Amino acid sequence: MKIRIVCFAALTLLATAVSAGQLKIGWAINDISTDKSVELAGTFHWRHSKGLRDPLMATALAIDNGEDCVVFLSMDFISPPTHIVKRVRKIVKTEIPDLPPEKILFNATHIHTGVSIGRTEKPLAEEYSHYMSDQIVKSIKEAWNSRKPGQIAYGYDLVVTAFNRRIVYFNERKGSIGTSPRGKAVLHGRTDVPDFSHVEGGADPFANYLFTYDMDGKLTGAIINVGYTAQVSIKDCYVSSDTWHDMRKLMAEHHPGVYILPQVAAAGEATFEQPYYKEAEKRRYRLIYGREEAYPGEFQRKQIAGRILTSFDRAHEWAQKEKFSDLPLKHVTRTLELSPSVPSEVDYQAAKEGLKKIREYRENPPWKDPAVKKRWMSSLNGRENVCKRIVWRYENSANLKKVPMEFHALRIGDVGFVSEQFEYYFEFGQRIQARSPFIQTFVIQLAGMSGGYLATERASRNGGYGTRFLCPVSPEGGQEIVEAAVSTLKELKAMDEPATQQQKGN
Amino acid sequence: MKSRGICVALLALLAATVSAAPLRIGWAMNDISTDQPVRLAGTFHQRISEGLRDPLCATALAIDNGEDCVVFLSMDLIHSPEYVVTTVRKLVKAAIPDFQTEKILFNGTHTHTGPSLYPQKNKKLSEITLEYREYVCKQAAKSVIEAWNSRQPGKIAYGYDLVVTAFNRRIVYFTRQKGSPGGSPAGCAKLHGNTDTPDFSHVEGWADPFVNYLFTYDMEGKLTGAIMNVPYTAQVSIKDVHLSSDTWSDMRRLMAEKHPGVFILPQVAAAGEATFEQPYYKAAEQRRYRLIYGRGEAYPGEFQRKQIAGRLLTSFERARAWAEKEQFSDLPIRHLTKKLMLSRYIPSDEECEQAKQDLEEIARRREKLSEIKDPKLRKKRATSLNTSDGRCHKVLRVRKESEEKPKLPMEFHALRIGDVGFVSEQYEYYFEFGQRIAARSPFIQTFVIELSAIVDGGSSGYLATERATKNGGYGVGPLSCPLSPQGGQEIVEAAIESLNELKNGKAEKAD
Repeated sequence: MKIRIVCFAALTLLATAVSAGQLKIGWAINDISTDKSVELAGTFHWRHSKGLRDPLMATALAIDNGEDCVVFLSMDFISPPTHIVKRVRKIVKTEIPDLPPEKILFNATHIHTGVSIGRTEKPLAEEYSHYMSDQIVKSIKEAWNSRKPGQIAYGYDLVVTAFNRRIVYFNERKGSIGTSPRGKAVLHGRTDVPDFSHVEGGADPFANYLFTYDMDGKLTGAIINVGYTAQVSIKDCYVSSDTWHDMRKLMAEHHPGVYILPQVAAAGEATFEQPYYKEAEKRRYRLIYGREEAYPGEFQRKQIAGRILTSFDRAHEWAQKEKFSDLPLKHVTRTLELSPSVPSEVDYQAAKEGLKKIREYRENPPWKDPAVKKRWMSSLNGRENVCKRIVWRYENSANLKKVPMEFHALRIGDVGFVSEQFEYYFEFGQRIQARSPFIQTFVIQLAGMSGGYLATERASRNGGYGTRFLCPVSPEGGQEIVEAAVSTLKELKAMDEPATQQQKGN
Repeated sequence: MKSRGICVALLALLAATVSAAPLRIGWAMNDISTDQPVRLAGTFHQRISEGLRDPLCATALAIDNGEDCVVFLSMDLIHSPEYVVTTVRKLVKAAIPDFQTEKILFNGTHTHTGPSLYPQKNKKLSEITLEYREYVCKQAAKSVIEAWNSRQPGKIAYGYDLVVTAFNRRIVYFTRQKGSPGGSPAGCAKLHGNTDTPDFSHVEGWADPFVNYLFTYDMEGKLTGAIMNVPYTAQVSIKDVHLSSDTWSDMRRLMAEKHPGVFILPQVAAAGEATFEQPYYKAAEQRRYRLIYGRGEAYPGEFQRKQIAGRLLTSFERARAWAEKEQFSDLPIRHLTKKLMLSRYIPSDEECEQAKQDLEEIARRREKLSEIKDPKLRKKRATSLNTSDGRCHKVLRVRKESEEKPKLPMEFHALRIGDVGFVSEQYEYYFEFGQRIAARSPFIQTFVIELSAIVDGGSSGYLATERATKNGGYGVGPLSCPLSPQGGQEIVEAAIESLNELKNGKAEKAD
């Protein structure tokens, strides 16, 4: 009986063991822009698009080795819209029968000058949704159908792309209705005050690269996985893919015909804004460009893209020395059930007070400046919804359900990938990377579906925007993702050691 | 009477107002190396140098505008020891009697393969060290004198860049970690702690990426040198047993290739908890070096030094490309030197009790030393225990002393050259203090310089924030910090006050 169990265990392990196979790689990119009168996503107040600044793209990279596969799909959007993801998978199921739809790993670049489908007028929103879905399907189909034998290389570099936007003070600050829980941290808070203590956490300087080549060793594309959310042009009123447009332009100049697929690593509290040295920054741009910006964020976008290109070339130079054409590939998709965020008594009372204030503001707006008034009035609905949600969640805290999340874990040779759908704070990503058994690990945030912030316990204690009641999932839920990621990556890693496992079984 | 008072105040203000005047700039660099065996500074255990890996240098940059001046003196030493500071000032005074030697702004690069310039227990080693120390002083003074005497009309430009040079080395865990006797207090943080564990929470703070540059030019606009102010301590070769200026040697080599004849003067910005070590991705890093170099390291830290120097050069070029578009030949200079009295770290009852317990543990460990068979390892442990023992005794001594002497003196510099501010302090000043100064300074850019002159019987040491102190671990608390976190904040406030005075042209009060 004992022997039979051991044999069965060994057979199971052998069956799940991954083996190296010839990689087949395909790329495609298609436009998902619109120049129509849409609303822009990413701010509490509404921003109406005046047109198209530069194109939004859906980039697909298909990699398979005959045993398993992945299609990375990166879209210039604030987060992957749930209905689009569902629709795309449905179409793919019928139109690409040999591609299991769950093998598509969607992510968004988190631009704040993309389309808000929810806020755009219904007929236009529907029209755009169809266009966007079709174009995404087109990218997936083209990438999948154009797969050819190819090679990959991987590397990383250290580069400054983002800062941490949470400024911590010695003393507690009052929050803001429906947007900022009370605490010591303030989003983009001033640092030129005696009360400034520190920037809450570091930003992550690790940029991960996965380069692809044809069989002649010619570079064909690269995944760029950075702890950076491209939202520099947040004050713009035009549709734009932000920094990734500048990066594509630079790539077209320096590496014509080479695709890039942007992924955002864990960077829930990332910002492009320096926490200080604002005057020095203005001077820097004055001396570099000698003119005013043509549009909001122009200079910063260019600068960040320039640094990423330097980093790209620096990493590529050494990474390309080790190319792989035959690699094990294993892609796991699961639904995780995560602990929900439960509002505290303090936040509950503040929300009830906030609802009262919102009613007062509506009846008697206190703002004299018409621009300020417009901005506030357009944000009241959003604030009210948040406050109502806090009250409801607090009063129903015993019945709150776990939050389901589509989770991907993937290995391609010695590189691991994990994805999650939230704006995942830097530190969670660092915990995964530090504990992963793979040489490099790409953590992909804003993947699969629309998410929301996912703050650490430390950040939640400090309060401020992007924590506590703004998070659908609790800090413990964030750590549940870490644990799931680490254990799944370890399982994937262990799969290439069947002989060892078998010996252990004996 | 009233109008007379106003006139006096106005006159005094005018007298104190700084005005732009033509700059005169001089550079010099001299060797401060030795091939004699000396103790290498920077580790608990004793390391005796086995020769010279690459030269240690003392680099001086003199800038004056006829109204005020500064001589920056950067030395490839772990800090700026009092003996060196005093002797250099004496030698300079003897050579240039009308030069005000408090205008010399010292800093160490914090290399951990530089010499310890203090008397040693071993007589021969001590003799060599003290003789060598005189050489260091002479050469450093020579740099100051040469820089001062070679001043020529020149121009400056300034800029900054964002580049990764360092990481924060304090790893914080969810649960409390035990301390080590005479080394680190117990707490949630651990120096270079393992991150590959479920208990890993986060890296304590942000290693800031701001690098400040002050470029100098001759009157034809030719680059002559640059101050590089980086929150980075060049201690990559800490495991080496050869004298070396660490990363700055690589940087000088790169500069000699790309910009022959151009000086660099390295300054360490606030970076008390900086490290060159990645907190994770260690295997990825090894692979990176294997693919870049395709061989083993010729000496400890070789690859990392080269990589950091390479990134610094890229950053240098990126900043210079735009900064040099605005060169200044006439600028106001105002240089203040003050003595600050700062709040000491006064050990609590619990900390004193811990020190006593640590001493007992150290004694127990000493007894077990004989069980170590390898003589090299035994010596390493023994010298390390000596250091820990000294640190514990110091905690108890400080507790007694601080009742009568709760403040410690520190030489403090505040300087403006046009729209650039500089402040200096002598400790290993945690990142966040520097960030507070940079954020609140009225100047467009502010160079915070750590490891500056030690005076008045002071000592080197860490200066940790309150947040870090709460987390425990190496580099905080009474074992490591002569000053309290409040003392650190007193420097911030003094810096802001002085910089505001300099900016507003009221460097001296009307009365």
